Amino acid sequence: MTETDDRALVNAVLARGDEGAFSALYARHTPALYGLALRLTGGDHADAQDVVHDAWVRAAERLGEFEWRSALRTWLSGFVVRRWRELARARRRAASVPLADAPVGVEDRKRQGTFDRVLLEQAVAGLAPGYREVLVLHDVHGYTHEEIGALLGIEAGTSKSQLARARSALRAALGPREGG
Amino acid sequence: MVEHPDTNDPLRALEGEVEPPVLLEARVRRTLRARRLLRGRPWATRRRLAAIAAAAVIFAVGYAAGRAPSDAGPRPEGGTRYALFLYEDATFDTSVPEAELVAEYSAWAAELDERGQLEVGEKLAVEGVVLQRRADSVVAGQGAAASEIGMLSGLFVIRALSEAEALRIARTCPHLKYGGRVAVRAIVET
Repeated sequence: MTETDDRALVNAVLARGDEGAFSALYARHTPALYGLALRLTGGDHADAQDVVHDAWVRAAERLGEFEWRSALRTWLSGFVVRRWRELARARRRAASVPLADAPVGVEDRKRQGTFDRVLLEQAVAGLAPGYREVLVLHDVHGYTHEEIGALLGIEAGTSKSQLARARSALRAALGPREGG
Repeated sequence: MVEHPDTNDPLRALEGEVEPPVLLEARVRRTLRARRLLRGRPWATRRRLAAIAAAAVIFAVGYAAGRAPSDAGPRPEGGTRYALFLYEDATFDTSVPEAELVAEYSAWAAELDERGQLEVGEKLAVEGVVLQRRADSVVAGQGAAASEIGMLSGLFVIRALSEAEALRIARTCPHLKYGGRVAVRAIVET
């Protein structure tokens, strides 16, 4: 994937409403956007679909305003984050989901593989929204603190400190784990 | 963006990219067409979409969100919903790259969607968790996908006017030509 490819596709969408070009953009970026939305919504696929749908629509409406000062995916991710925040506010989802509510027995937490990932998903979903946003953007999607600052409207230093607290909260939520 | 710095970090288990449901793109494009942001050439692009999607990183997740798009296309009046469960076992043809399979299945699903006969189309992850209550706790085990007739690997929900039509549609599912099985079950509306 190169910025040149993205530019050509964006230009085709802007100039002709080219559906093929949009499809290429969609296929290129949506798995990352959907993954981001899925983490932000705590694994709610229906909400994640709504978030990504609305993000693409808003992005398409403002495509002509994009100035290529960042990667297209970073710009698109901003729409996902903002739409998720609107949704979270609307539904008053600020409260975190306690791990105690996880529908599994304590004796099974030693299981590896899939089950570890399930626990991890639950732990991430249980973080406070502000922590979850920074942790997912940095540790899962690889954004820099400067990019996260721009996406979330915070200073890079704030992103760093939020990340440290998020990791600490995640470790506490996961608890001591056998074998490392 | 930077590479993940810590290869031992458990967060690496969380994939950054997740393949979205097949129907989501159709939903987005319908909205953009309605707002005149796209001028559709749907059939020319659907094939291309499938090929491009196949090249993307595929991380299949085992969830069918169950939410039909609010702006879904026209659907046949009446009829019944049928679930098509896709199974595969050791005889399934694994010589075909998964990307090609996804492209072919996506194109098949897109045709159904174009006719307003597709409600859900999802590939299911191999991994899964089975929950079962034992004594005072709920225990979890693996093997959610396993069954007597193979591993459950996909799910479609279609709408058809009769069982015969549902079976005709199921016969065209590409899963069969690779040695998979397709179980057709009417959905009982309650």
